[in-house]
Amino acid sequence: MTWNSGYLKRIGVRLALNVFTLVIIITVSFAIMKAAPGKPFETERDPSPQVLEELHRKYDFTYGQYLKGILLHGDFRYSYSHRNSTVLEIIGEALPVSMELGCYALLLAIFAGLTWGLLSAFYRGRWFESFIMALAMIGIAVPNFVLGSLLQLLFSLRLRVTPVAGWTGFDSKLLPVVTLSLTYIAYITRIARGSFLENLNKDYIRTARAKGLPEIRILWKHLLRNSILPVINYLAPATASILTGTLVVEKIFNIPGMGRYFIESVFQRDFPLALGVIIVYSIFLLFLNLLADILQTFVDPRIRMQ
Amino acid sequence: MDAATAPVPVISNSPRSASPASIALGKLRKDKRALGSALVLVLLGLAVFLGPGFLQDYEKQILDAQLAPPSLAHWMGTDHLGRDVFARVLKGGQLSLAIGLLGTLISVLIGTLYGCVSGFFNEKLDLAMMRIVDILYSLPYMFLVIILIFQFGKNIYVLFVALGLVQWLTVARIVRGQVLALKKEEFILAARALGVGSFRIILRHVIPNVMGVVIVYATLTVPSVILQEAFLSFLGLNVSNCTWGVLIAEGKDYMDTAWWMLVAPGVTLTVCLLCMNFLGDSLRDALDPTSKIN
Repeated sequence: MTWNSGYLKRIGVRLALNVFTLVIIITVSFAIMKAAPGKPFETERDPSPQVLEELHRKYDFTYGQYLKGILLHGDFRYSYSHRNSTVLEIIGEALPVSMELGCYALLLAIFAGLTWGLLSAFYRGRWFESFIMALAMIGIAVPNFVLGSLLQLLFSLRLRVTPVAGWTGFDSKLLPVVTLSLTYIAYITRIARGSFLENLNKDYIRTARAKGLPEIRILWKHLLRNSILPVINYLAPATASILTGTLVVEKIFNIPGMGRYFIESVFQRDFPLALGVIIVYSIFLLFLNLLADILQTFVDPRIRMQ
Repeated sequence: MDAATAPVPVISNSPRSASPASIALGKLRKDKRALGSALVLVLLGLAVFLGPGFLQDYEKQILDAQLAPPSLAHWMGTDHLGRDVFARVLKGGQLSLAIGLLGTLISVLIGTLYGCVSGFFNEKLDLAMMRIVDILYSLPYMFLVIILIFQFGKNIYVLFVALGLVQWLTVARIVRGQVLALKKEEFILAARALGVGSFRIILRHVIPNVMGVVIVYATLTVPSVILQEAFLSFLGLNVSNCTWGVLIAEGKDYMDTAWWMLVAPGVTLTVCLLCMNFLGDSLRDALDPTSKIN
């Protein structure tokens, strides 16, 4: 596949627009944070002017200073609640954990969703299809915080087969990943089934069958490639909401990821940390949206021509 | 019943064409899943808004019956303070359902108006208005909603603003797409030729034609608003101390000794969301002219 210059230019425009969006996000979050009454260093007894000045030098900043620091030096300032740690250090520890959780969940969702979608398309009109689709509907309806708590109750507290919380070995990662991915498995199953059904009756599948190609090859080379686009289109919004999902899953299973730090920082008015998490999440979000667009054109070259 | 007296399908035999609404109703009436879901939702609504009047007060503490398992006296048991969980689940539903319906109404109104204006007038305005939607779309809104509610207090108006701000975006996009297609239709051209003003055309001709799509989207928005409210409550950003999200969070703390405290509100919320999703799905199928009439 060749990259024409028009397409590269469009990606460039998108990147510039993303930086602009990021500035808006920082501005809005900053405004909300600053709008609340109270300052971080107001205490009952007044510290000496020297101490106060030292504190302000280390912790205080204006909008202009903050924006400049972020964009030019990647400086996210010091956290208020974690003593002597920069926001970047905290995020550096938490981000890999959240990413691991999110990636496992997404991979599980894609793999399981495509498999179930394919199965339900092949068994169309049989009880098996209705069974899968009913399960998918339930999967979409169950909120992840209900599912997570119920799984924890059943497997950790009653059956005692998994640890209650933490993020250490395979057994402790199983429940959080399943909890996070279930909704997306359900959505992908529905989307994939619809797309597979649409393509199964097309002429090129009949031609492939008439040529005597093995079924597995038809599936892999012909059907999957042509019906995957709706699933890819769904991936960008799915990834965005998986990020939100990590908030609650990390809280339920006590996982030391970004989501848990975010909730903590909001409740403790740790302004720089909350802002830092929002910015990192937003960068991810914007980048993933761009990636999804590029991926679409790889799968369907027609989009690139427009 | 012989062929002569058998009821003939209205749609194929009537000399005048049936209206889209009546076709949709006909399809819905045959959809057992939709009827069942509607029935459950009606019962749930009645129970939630009338039920607490017949039960003991949801705040009343029975001190010798803390964490009592479900029984005839307390259908869903009691919580750690000896309050009746059934009464609390019903009471919590009031807020959830009200927020779901009102939040959806607000977002649909804003979204429809925005989409109509964006799609109907000139291209430059359309481009500018849709760019704004694109940018708002890429905000990590759940994070902003969380800091918004925490900073401006846990009151119901902040919650409405926060949830409403998010939901109208999709409505605006859908409506705008519809309006763009409608704009080229001949009846709009005819109305213009007769000298009808733009505002009146939007009100009398465009909006009635996008209503079907908007209604379908709205039925699917209600459960999503309810879910978001519960999500925020679960995280501790609750506007009332008795909502489904709060009950689930409390239930999670006591689930080892009192599973009913988690299971009762959790299952109620799930059943509610499930039925709303079923209903929205069926409505979408029913209003889709390409789906077959069985």
